[in-house]
Amino acid sequence: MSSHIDPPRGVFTLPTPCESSNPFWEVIKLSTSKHFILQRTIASSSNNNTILRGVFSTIHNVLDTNASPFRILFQPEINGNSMQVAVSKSQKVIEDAWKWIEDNLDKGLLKLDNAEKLEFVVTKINSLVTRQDRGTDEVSEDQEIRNASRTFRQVFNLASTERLVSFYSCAYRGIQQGWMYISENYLGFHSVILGIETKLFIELKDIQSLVKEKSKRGIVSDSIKIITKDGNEHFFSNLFHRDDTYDLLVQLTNLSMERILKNATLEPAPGFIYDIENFGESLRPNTPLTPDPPLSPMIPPLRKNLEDQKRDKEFQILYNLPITEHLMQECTCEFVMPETKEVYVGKLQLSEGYLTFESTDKKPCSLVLPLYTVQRVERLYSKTHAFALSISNWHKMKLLFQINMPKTSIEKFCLVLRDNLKDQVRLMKSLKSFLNTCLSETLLTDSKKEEHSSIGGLGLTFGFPGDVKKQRDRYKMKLWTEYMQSNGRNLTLIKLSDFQKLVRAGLPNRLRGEMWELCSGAMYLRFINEGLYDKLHQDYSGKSSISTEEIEKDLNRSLPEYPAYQKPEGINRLRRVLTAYSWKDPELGYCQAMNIVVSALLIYMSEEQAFWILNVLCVKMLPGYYSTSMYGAILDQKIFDHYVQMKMPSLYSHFQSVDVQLTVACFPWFLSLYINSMPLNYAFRVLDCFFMEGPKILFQIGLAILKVNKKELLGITDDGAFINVLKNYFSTLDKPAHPDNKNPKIREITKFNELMVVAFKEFESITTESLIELRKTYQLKVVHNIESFTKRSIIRNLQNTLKFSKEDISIIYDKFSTAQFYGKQKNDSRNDSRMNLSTFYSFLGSIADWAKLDDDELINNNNDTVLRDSQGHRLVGYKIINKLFEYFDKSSSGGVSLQDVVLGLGEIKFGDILSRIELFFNLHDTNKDGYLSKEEILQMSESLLFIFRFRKDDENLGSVSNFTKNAFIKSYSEKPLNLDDSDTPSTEDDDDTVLSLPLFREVTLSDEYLENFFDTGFAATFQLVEPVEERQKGLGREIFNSLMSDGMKFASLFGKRSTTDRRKSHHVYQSQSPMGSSLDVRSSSCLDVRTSSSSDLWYRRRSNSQENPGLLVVTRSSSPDSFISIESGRSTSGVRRSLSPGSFISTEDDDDRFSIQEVERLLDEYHDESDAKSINGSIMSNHERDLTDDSTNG
Amino acid sequence: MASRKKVLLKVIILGDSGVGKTSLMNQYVNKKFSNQYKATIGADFLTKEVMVDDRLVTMQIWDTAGQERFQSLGVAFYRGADCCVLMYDVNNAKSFETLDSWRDEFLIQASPRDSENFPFVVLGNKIDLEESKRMVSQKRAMTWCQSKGNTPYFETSAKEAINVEQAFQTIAKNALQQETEDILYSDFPDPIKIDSDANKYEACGC
Repeated sequence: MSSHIDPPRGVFTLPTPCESSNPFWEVIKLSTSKHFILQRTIASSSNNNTILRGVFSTIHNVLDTNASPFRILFQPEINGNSMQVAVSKSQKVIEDAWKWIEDNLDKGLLKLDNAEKLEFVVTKINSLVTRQDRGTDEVSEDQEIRNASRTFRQVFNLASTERLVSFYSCAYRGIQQGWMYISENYLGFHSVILGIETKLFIELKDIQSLVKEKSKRGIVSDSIKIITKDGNEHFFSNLFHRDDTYDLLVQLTNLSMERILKNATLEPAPGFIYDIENFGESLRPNTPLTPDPPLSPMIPPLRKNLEDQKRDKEFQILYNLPITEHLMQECTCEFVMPETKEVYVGKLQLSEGYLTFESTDKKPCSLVLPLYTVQRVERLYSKTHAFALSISNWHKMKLLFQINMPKTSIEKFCLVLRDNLKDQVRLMKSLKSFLNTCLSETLLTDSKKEEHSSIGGLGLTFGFPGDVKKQRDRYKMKLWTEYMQSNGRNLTLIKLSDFQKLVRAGLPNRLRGEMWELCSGAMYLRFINEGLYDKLHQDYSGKSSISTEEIEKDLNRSLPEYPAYQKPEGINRLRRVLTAYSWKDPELGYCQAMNIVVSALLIYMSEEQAFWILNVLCVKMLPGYYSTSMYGAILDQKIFDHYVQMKMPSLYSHFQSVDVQLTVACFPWFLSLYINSMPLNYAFRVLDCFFMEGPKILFQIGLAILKVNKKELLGITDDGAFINVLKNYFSTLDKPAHPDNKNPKIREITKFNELMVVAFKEFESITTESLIELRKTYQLKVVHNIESFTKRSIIRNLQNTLKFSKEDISIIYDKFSTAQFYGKQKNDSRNDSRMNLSTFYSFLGSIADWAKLDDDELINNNNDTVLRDSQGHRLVGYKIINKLFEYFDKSSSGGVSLQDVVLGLGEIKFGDILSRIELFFNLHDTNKDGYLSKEEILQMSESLLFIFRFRKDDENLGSVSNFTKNAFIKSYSEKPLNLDDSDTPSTEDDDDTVLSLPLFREVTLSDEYLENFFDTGFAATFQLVEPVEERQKGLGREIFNSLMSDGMKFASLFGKRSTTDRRKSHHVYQSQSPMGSSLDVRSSSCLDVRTSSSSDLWYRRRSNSQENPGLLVVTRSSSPDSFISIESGRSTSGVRRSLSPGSFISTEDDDDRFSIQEVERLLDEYHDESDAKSINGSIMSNHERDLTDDSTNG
Repeated sequence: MASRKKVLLKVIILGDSGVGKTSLMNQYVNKKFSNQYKATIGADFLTKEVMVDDRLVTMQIWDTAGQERFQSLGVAFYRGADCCVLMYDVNNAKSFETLDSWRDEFLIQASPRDSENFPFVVLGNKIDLEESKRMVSQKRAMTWCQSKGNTPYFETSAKEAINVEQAFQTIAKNALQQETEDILYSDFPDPIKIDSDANKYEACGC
C-alpha cells in the first residue's frame, strides 16, 4: 500500500543474532513469507495468570537486561537461526514496524533466493538504523551495549543520545537483585522481583562520595556505597567486578565534576575583552581537544573511548606531552644507549608526534623523542631479537631499540611510525631556529660563546638571587655539560639516574630556565605553537578586560625586592606574559599568585618560555589552582590535610584540638609554589624538583616542613602562632640544622638541606599516581561546596530579582544550571554562561509542563529541521517556545542569561492579565507592525493549543476555536483602520486583514476560558518547585498489572478500528508518554483502550460537512494520546491542518498551511456564519460525543 | 566579666584587591608606609597591643587576599573573628559596590553567633589622592553604612596616616565588645541579650 511511509523511529535495531525459541517469548504473528516473526514476552502476555507472569518477569529480568516486551525477528532460513531486527516496549510501535516490514521487506523477500534474502534484509535494516540513529548506542559496535542501552533508555525514559558505558548485575540495599546501568550522565538501577519494580536513578553530577565497601555481611569486598549531595546513601552489593565498576564511576563522576566546574565560572569571564562585539570570534585561540568523530556509521562503545581517554591521559602525564597526543602503539623492548651500550628493558610507546621509552627494570631511564627530531630510521637485522630499530636524531645520536613481537604487530608498529614521521616532517624546518633559543645548544657546540649568550631571563642583567659562589654554579655547569654530551640535550635528552641527582642538587642558574621548560613539557608546546605568543600580542594589542586591570594592579606587587621589578624592563615583561595568558585562557584570566610565579620564572627565561610554562602549570600540573573558583587549590589543600592526618596523626589531632586549620598557613605555599614563603634561592631549588617530578613535590616539601617543626607546632594554640613558627623557620633556612654537632661536616648542613632530605626520604611514598587518585576522590567532595559558593555569588550579582523570593531565585538558578550542565556537553569547549535555544527548551520544560518535549524532539530540532516527534511526524505550535526565547533575550544576543530568565519569568508571573495578553500579542506579532496578520492569528491558536495540550478539560478546544473565529471576524473590521494608520503600506502580506492589540484584547476577554488563562492560568503553568525524586514502586503494581492486562484485551479489540479510522483522515497520532516512565509499557499499549472506552474521554466533534460547510472544527481527545484537527469541511481537497498535543501531526508536510486563497474563502464563510450556528455546531458535537461514549459502553 | 585576663582580638580586613589593606595594617602596626608590598596571597597578620577602656588587649589584625576568586576560601580565615573591617578605595567605585558581597560572604562563611549585631567597621581609604579622583562621596558611603545598622565609617589614608589610629580604636573597642559578649554567651548556657552600644559611633569627619 504505502511503502513511502517513513519507517517508525526508535524501534529497529541492527540485525543481532539471537535465539528464536526461548521460554520467555511467545509468537504473535508470522509474516507472509514466514521470514519475520513478531514476538512478545510471556511476562507481558495476558494469557497467563498473574503469579506465573510475575515469576517469569523476575527470572527474565535477573537473567537479561532486555526490558522490551515486543520484538521482531528475522529468519533468513525458515526455522533456522534468528536475528532480532526490532524491539519495542509498545505494541503499537512494534505493529507499525511490523507493518513497515510487511510492506517494504517481506514482499520483496519472496522474489529472492535464500542467500540474497539475508543480505537484502541486513543491508536494508542496517542502513535504516544507521541513518535514524547516527551517533547513538543503537549503532554501537558492541551488541550487548546496544541491547542494554536500549533497555536502560526505555526504563528511565532517556533520550536516544544518552550513551551507556557499562552495566553490571548487582543488588541494591542488599536484597533487590537487578542491573546497574552506568551511562555518560546517569546511574540507573532496575530490578523486577515478583512484580515489584525497583528503579533508582542518580545523576552522576549529584554524587558526592563513592566508597568501596564490604558486603553487608562483611565477608566479601564486593560493594560500593554512593552518597549524593542531598545526603542520600545508596548501597550496591554483589558486584562481581567491583573495582572495575568503581573505577568507571570515579572516572565518569570526575568528568561530570569537571563540567560543573566549567559551569561554575563567573560572568563575564574575567579575561574576555570588554568590547567583544567588535572582535572576530576567529581570533579566539582554540585548543583542539579531541579529534573529529569518525564518520563511520558504526561507533565503538563509549566504554572504549573512556578507556582510551584514561590511557592517553596517563601517557601524557608520564611524559609531560601535550594533550593533543594519543597513545597509538606500544610494545616492550630493550633500549641500548648509544655510547655506553648499556641495555635498558622497558616500554616503547608511540603517539602522533612522539616516541617514548621508559625503563621498567630497576635502572631508571626515560626518554621522549619528538618525531620531528628524528632524522633517520633503519630496520636492522638482529640475531637475538625479532626486530631492531635504529633511530638517528638531530643530535647525531643513534638510538637502538630491540623488539620481540609477532611479525604482524611489528609491521603495524612500523607502519604507524612511518605515517607519523611523515606527518611531522613539516615541523622539522623550524627546528634549527628553535634550537638557537636553547642554551644547551650553544653550550655544547661552542662553549666560548656561552659566556656571552643572551639566552636567558632577567637574571642575565639583574643577577641571580642567592650566593652564586655558594651555589657552585660553575662546577654544576661542568657536570651538566658532561651529562648532555653523552645523553643528549634539550629535545633529545635522555633522563638517567644521574639526571635526577643533578636536578636535586640544584640547577645551575644559566641552565635553569631551559631545564624547567624541558622537564615540564612546556618546551614541546613552545615548539609546536611557534609564533602564537607574539600573535596573541598582535591580536589583542590595546584591548582590555577585567583581568588586564587586575594584572596592572599587581605588577608592582609581585617581586618588588628583585631589582628588575623596580624598573620598566622587568615590569613590562611581566605584564606581557600575564596578559597574553589572560587572552589565551579568558575563563581563567588572571589570578593573584600567578604574578609571583611568573616574576620568578622570568629571572631565568624568556617571556615566551615563561608563557608556555604558565600554560603547563594552569592546565596540567596545577589544574584549577588559578581558575575563578580556585577548585584545584582547595582540592589540594584537602589532600594535604589528608596526608598530614595519615603521616603525622599526633600533629593533626593537636591542630584539631586547638582549632587551627592548616590551610591558613599552607595555602600560599601551594598557590605560589613556595616562592612567596621561602627565600628565593631556596624556593628555586624546590621549583627544580617540582618541574622534574611534578606536583607531588609541593606535598613532600610541605609535609617535611611540618615534620621538621613538629615539636614547636605541637605547642601552638592559634593560627597566629602557627604562622609565626613557620615564618621564623623560613627565615632561617640557610642556618645550620645542627649547629651544636661536633662533626664540622654535619654542622655544615643547612636547614634547607635537612628539609630536602626529610621530604624525599620520609615522604617518598607520596607519588604522582597516588596524588592523582586522591584528587579524583576528593574532587567530588570539593565540587559541591564550590558549586554553592558560585551559586551564592552569581545570585548576589543579579541586578534585579523582581518580586521573586530567595527560594524562587535559588530554584531558577538550579534549573538554569542543570539545563546548562546537560546542554553544554554537546557544545564546544566555549564557556558561555548564557543558554542557547536548545538548552532553553530543556530549561523551560523543567519549569512548565506544557513546554516539556521528548528529548528526541529536541535533538531533531538541533539540526534546525522541523521539529518532529519520535515517529517522524511534524510537531506544530512548539514555536511558542522559540518566541519566548527571543522575548527573554532582550539584548538579541542569541542567548539568555540567568538575569534574562529571571526578568522574563518575572514579567509573566508578576504581570497582570493585560500585560500577559500584550505579551502574547507581541510574541506573535512577528513583524512587529503592531498587528496580527491572519497567519499570526493562526500561529497564536497553535500556540494556545500547544500550551493546552495536556489539559483534561473540554473547554480549551472550544475556546481556541472561538478565538480563531472571532479573531478572524474582528480582524475584518480592522482592515480600513490599518490602511489609514500606516504610512508605509504593508508589504508583508497580500491580504492586509489584521488585528490590533485592543481588538485582540477584546477577543480574548470575551472568552471566559481564555480570560482565566491570561489572568492566572498562564503564570501558574510555571512551577518553581524542587523536583520530586522518583521513588520505588510498591506492591500496588501487581494489582495494576492485572488490570492492565484486561485493558490490553480491549486494546487489541478496538485497536484496529481506531487505527483505520485515523488512517482514513490522514491524521496519525504518535503516542507520547508524559506519565511515569515505569508505566510506559502499559500506557502506550493501551492507547486504544483510552480512545474507545467510556471511562476515558474521547471527544470527537466532527463537522457535518453537508450541513455546516466551512465550520471550523476542532477535534481532539483530552488524553494526550490523541490528536486534534482543525478541518475545513467543505471541499475534500480542502485544508487540513492537523493539530495534536505532543504532536500536531500531518502525514504530509505540504498540507499544513492554509493557502491565502483558502484562508480568504474560509473567512468569507465565517463572515456568513452566524454565531448561533457555531453554538449549534458545538452542541452537535457534544451530542455526538455522547453517542460515541454510549456506543463504546454498549 | 571583670576578669583581667589577657584578651586576644581577631580582626579581619576585607575588601577588593588594591584598596590598601596591607598598607593600612602596616601603617597602624609599624607606623610605616611602603610601595613595595607584595599582593597578599591567602592571608597574613600582624599583632599590636592596645589599651581599650583601661584594658590591655592584643589585636591580631588579619589581612586577606582581595581578588574576588579568593572569597571562596574565606571560611578558614574568617573563623573566630571579633570584628570585620570592610575597606574600599574612595577613588574606585567598584571597590565600594562590592562591600555588600564581602559583607554577605563574611557572614555566611564566618557564621558568627549573632550575625545581626556582628561588629563591622567600614573604611574608605586613599583620601590622600586629589579630590578630583574621588569616585565615592562621603555621603554615599555613610548612607550605605546607616542602612547596615549604623556601621561606623572612617575615611583614611594609610599613606599619610590619616584617621588610622582613630579607626583602629573603634575597631578594637567593637571587637572587645563582641569578645565580651562571646565570653558571656559561653558562661551562660542560655543566650542573654545584651544591649550593644557598639553601633552608636558616629562617623569621623575628615
